[in-house]
Amino acid sequence: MGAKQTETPFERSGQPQHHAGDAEKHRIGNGGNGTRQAATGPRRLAKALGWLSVGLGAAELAVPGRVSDLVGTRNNDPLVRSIGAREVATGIAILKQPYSSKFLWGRVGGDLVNLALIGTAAKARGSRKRRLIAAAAAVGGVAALDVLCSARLTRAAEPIHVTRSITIARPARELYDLWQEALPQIMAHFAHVYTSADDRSHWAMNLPGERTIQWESQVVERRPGEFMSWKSTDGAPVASEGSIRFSPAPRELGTEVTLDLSLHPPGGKARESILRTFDFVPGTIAEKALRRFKSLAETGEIPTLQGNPSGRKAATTEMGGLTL
Amino acid sequence: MRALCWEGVNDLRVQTVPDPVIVNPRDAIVKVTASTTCGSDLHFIEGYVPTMRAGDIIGHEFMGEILEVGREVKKVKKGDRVVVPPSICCGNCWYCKHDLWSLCDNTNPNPELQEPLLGYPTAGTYGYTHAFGGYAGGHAQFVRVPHADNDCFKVPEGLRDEQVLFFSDAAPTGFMGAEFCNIHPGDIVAVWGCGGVGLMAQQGARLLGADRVIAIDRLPERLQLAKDRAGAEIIDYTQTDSVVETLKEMTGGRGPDSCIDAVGMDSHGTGVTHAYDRARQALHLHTDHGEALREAIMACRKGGTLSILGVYELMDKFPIGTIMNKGLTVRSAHQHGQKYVPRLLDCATRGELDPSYLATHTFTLEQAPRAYEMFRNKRDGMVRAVIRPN
Repeated sequence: MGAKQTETPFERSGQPQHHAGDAEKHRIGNGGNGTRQAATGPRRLAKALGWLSVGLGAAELAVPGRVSDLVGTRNNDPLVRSIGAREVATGIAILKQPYSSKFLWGRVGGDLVNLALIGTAAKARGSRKRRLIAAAAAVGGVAALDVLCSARLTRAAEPIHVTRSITIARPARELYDLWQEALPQIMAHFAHVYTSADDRSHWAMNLPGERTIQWESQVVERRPGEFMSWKSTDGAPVASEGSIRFSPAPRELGTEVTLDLSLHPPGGKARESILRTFDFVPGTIAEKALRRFKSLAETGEIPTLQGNPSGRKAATTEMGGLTL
Repeated sequence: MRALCWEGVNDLRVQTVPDPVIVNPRDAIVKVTASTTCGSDLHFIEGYVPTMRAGDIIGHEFMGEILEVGREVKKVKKGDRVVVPPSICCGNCWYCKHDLWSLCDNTNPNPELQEPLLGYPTAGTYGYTHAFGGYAGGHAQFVRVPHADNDCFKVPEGLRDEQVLFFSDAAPTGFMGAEFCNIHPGDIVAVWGCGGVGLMAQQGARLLGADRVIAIDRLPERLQLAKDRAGAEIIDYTQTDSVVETLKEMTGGRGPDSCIDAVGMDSHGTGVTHAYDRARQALHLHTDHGEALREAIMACRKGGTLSILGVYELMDKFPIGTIMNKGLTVRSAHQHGQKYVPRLLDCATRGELDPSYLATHTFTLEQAPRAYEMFRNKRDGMVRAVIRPN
């Protein structure tokens, strides 16, 4: 019994179909400079070390006797368990904040403690030297990785890249113009923006904890109806650059709009708090900006809860937002 | 104005709240003449669906009179009597244009709340959590209706409120569910659930040409309605060892051609899997109850169609292998009201469909918390409570 299927955009457009031109268009980083890495090197390594900690710690908690046996130390279940607990906690902390070097330096500390314990065990009578040496080598190897990773995270201010796309049922040139005209409205979900002549825009963003950061942005390149890029001027607390690309969508679907954003957090103390805010937020901000842009372009309005009545005693005007 | 607000799990209170106002030029303000309770409300009232905030005005199935329109509203005007479906739809995105109204791209101000579970945002909905937009709902004296030209359907003369109110949600949902079954002459359609949606699905199946409709529930008064109104054969699942076996016997061993789930996540089962669901719920490890849906998957004939109207989030022990090995077609959606309401209004005008029997009890807005308490516990033979806020 053939059920009449409703066509999806993908059936209509015949995706996935890759033409020669598509490969060029879809290559990561095209239109920008260089390649984009989704999870940059040290962060990936940090995550791997985080999982290693969790796995190792879980084993030390669950079967401390077997771990001691494997390593060559004498059985001391409470000690191994406590090491395991620390290991799991460190691992979880690393996984939650893989950009942060402090937990990785914590791993290094733990490695040194482990090495010291192995050293003590080696001095004891009747120790199993071969196992201990192997264990020490393993710990030493991991410690080296930990140091490497921590150093890189501390030193480098790894940039954060996000790319988001959306398809809007309007022509590219119309969207190119609308993006600039309505930028303050589109970005209202996270920052107060105003544009001035000479291709500059001024941004003020509220951070949690009642801080505000402000910066200015300058248009770098324009190809009307196709592409626009910008970067923050000197003195911005977080250096950033971005671009927006408009390319025809298949069939009558309109235009594919791609927003690329890069953030370069500074080193040092400020980095921690800024990174905590920015680690997950840029993707959401970019996605939401595109959604708001699409609604404005297709319907002339952005969906809103302004004036939405409720039984809450607080402000009667509510804007839909990121926090509940 | 007065409105029914959710103040916490199982805590509904009528509060005095600000009146809604025109915000965008395509908005209208509707003065609500009647609204009704829906089974899917119970999911968030009981705390199973996240992103409610204390103070949210609830209610997603309503009708009323246009009080005020924005300057770009062309198709309706002040004084028009209209019925409004729960999904807020722009009419301009790909989904609206292809009759997939509840998937509208442009009416959810909180898309980031849906992306973790759905990957994409869907249409905003009145009175149904902030993941679905957080819009104030219809159990209130007034409602702001965005995109009024799309979402307000004029009620023809000569139809009473109770004949039309259920065209907001219960009837289009049921009708869509029946349409999903791709019914051919001679087909047998089994429907789990004899609440508002289930009964409408049964009547819809009949209107679309099903030969036999089999209705499954446990409440005698609802099974009686299925018999009387939809000409359904009935199964009381508390009186049989196995609904699946009973359905097989009733269909010559073949199984029904299509199965409609109009129960959803509050499913009450009697078997081991139900006990498992309840235990997990008690331990706050719950995922949705799936008794009715699992039965439907088992009972459906090979190569048949499963039409899922019940509202769910995540389900444990879901027999995806059974679906695959039996070659079932699965169709599901939140109802695309804007597609069905005009047809249903036509059916009503021609006397082919009159859902007013669903309106078993009527309440004022101030009595609404009690209405929900009775609705939730299915007291006094209640099928749907109608609330009259003005």
